[in-house]
Amino acid sequence: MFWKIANKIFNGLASLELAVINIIILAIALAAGTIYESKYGAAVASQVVYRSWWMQVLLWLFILNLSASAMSRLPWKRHHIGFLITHLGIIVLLLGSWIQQRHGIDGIVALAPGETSKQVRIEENVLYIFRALPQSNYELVLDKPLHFDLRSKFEKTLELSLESPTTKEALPEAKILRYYPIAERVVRAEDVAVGKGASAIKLRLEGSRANFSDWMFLQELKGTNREIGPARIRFQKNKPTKEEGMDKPTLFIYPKNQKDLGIVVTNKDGRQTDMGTVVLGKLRPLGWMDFGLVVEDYRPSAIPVADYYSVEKAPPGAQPIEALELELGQEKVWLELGASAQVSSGDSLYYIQFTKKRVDLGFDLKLNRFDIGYYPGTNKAKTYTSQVSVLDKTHLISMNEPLHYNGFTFYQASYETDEEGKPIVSVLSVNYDPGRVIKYFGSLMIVFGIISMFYFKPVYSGRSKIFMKKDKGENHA
Amino acid sequence: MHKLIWGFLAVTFMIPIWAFANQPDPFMRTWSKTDWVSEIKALPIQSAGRLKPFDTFSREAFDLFVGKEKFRGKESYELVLSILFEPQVWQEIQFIQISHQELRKDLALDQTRQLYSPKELMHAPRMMPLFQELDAKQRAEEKLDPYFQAVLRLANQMAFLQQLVSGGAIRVIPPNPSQAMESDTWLSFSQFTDEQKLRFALLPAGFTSDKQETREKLAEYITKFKDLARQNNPNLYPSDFDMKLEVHFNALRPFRVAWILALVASIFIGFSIYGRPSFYKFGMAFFLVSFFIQTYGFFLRCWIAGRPPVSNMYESIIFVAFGSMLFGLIFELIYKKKLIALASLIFAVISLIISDNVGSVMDDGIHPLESVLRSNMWLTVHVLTITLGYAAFALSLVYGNMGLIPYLFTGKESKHMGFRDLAFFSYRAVQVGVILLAAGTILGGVWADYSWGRFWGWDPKETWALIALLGYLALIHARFRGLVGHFGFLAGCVVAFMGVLMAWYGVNFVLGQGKHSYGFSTGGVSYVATYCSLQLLVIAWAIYQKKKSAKS
Repeated sequence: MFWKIANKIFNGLASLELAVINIIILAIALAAGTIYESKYGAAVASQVVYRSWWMQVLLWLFILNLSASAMSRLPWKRHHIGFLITHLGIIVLLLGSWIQQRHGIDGIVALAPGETSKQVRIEENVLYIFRALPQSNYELVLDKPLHFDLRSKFEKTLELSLESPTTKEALPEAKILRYYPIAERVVRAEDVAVGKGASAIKLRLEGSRANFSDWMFLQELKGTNREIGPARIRFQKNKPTKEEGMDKPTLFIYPKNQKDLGIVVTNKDGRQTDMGTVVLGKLRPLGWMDFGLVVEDYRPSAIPVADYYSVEKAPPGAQPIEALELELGQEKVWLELGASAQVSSGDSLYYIQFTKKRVDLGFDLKLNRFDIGYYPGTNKAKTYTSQVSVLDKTHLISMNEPLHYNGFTFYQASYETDEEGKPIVSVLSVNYDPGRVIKYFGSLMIVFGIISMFYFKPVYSGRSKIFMKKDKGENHA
Repeated sequence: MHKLIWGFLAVTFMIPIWAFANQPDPFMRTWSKTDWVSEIKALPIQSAGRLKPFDTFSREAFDLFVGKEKFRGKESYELVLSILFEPQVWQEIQFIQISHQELRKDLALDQTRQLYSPKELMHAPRMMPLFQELDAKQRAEEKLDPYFQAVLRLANQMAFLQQLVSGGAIRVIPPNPSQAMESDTWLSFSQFTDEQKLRFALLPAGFTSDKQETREKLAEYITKFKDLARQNNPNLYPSDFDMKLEVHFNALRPFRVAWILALVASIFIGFSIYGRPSFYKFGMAFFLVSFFIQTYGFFLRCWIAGRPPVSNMYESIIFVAFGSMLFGLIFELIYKKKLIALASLIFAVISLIISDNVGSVMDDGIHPLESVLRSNMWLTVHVLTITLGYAAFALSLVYGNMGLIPYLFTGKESKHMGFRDLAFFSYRAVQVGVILLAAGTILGGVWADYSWGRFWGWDPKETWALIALLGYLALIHARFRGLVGHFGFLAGCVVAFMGVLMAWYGVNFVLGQGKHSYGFSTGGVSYVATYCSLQLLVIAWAIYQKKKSAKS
């Protein structure tokens, strides 16, 4: 009885029907993945489809199906060779990529010329919490990879357990309260006692070329600037002297006292064309193009507080923000991806980092210089070249000419520019693939297998009699 | 964008030094001697990152302005010279095409036309705000919808016109060796030496003169200017042979000739199947000539571009057509079935006609490669293998459709004229395609690994190539098992080709994501969708007919 059932299961697993169904499901799933990618981006598609648990199941079923069908043809004969090589090749290839997925590294290093790094940033969010020790040391009390669903906000509580490697004493409770895959940050001013905060004004600029409404906080020593194209808004401590505002048309705003703001406008020659006292909420034409300015609010002493809202899409022109809210002990804090915060609880100070995971390279990589070559007479880039040094030896990395070092591949992926479009940071993609040889071997097997299968010997000639007849019929037609 | 706007104003207000006061009609100009034509056509000019003959330059210019390489019966080289040398005349000529209806409406232009004069556009009120909006979108790297693509085209048209009129686009003298150390940009009129300026000024003088004797000297003026330009830096100056070869390529239009010949061949072969066996020889002769011309065309294109034809949709379509002819020829030689040759011809004719006629979607110009594509053998091998695989699948698609024809009418397989063989041929074609696509996809992995150390990255293009491959694998395995018979396999070939279409066209034109973005473009989606639904309807009808005949 048992053998009968086992036999049935085995036959099912080895069947071509299962193969056909499996292939079709795989194809549909992958198609869905590409549509997902085009809608939500590569990270989401990878999370939801390509690296999901059910894709793993599907692939393992695929491997099972291939192995079972190979076993079902025992004892193997000569005409099975092509079939066996191909299907074993697929298994080998999948095995190679499985090894890569488990043990490989796929990340980036972004360096400005002259900068050195020994770490790779990889596509995985982590939360680190360090606890300050006496003797100005830190110990790691939490190292938590975060795998939130990138498509929707998370508003349930995720408990975190902090553990100190040195003491057994209880550490404060910590939990993630919220996680927003795409968040909008809105800054507001919160009044504080005089001397604890800074003067803040809320400005609204209206015009056909630019439009914004935002808080500006006064930096006592150097003042706060906001560039709007060829002109500048400057919030400073004192009334400007005649010499200030020489380099470009500037609108100066300064606190006169706890209630009033003064305003001075200079033109591009530095001449003061307008001055007076600001009336809150009143539109003031600036005389530069069609710009008008409204000072909406004035707080003599305030601190900036950021609120986060979950949004469908980053506002136009803004970088998308990924953010989470964390509670540690009594304190709550918002963290943007890539940012850190300090929180005190009990008598300890905690240092929290929400960041992309970093992996040690094991050696220092220094970027010496980065160059872009253009097609003659155009702005179209022809080549990108990073000159790097590893252990005092220099190497050139350019598009399609990566650096292979110590099992790592460094490839010229992209670059970042400053506001004027000048390249300032070279972005290298870094890969480490322990499954490479296996994958290549599998690939070779597949290609040679298919060739020998199709062109040297019909595989199924000994098996499917019905089809053989059909095949013959066709051949003779 | 600021530059662009000011440049646009300059179109009306700046009149170059060689402009004359008289107002000739550029379309009425006649020539007693035309020896200058071949000289001016082959004059090297640097534009859009490439050295090209003036012929190509002016064809591209009119392609941009009017959407055609000829305009009101005049060839573009003469018209571009006229824009250059008597720009004031062109203020009033309606030659700037705006084919997007909404945009025409928004610009408050005459709705009955598609062509407008620079002067009319100058007075279109909404243009500047639209250009600013476009600028903002481009800076935010937003994907442009058809409306803003039309705005972009208009912006390009105006900017290019301005560059022509100001002479900035006419880079015809290579930088001298010391300048070349600084920049490899060629020099335009304002950077010429006095001697070069004088020599160049003879060109407008010769071109626009009222006197017949002066105009007959134009050829001589051009040759002399060319000699002077070459002297500036002989190492950078291209050979006359290369320039003439490209002019020859432009004039020959090998791929247009090829589809006409292939069309003739398919008619002959069609008749040879339908009762005139003796026509077969003629048909195959035309087949071979068409194949030869395509081969020659590829040879020229590779020579001119200095790289294999793998960079965009246009090049891949003509290459797939070539591949289908190649496989058709091989199969035909092996099996000697006329339907095979006919299928190849049908596919080649359709795809070459498409590539020849939808210039708005597919740019047939030769352009420099994106930096990521400037690489090595692996890339070339990978793309060519995959495209050949597409060609084999395209053949199986045509066989599939042909094989379905009898079912559409009778619901049964036809025993006549070799229709029964089609299931077998389509199987053969699928086999060839599977090998090539599998190998090509893997080679793509090898290239990716070589280039950025990543064998597979779930990039949409590679994922869709895999999906297409999986479709055919499912079909082949279903056939092994006997899950599909002749009919099922033929229908399967038709359906599975949609995966190829998605990988080939859809990823670039519909999804618009991923690393293969250098080929991205838009347009034609509705046509492809219509095609796919028609194919599904055909299959549905065939199934219906088959069911009906099985009952009776």
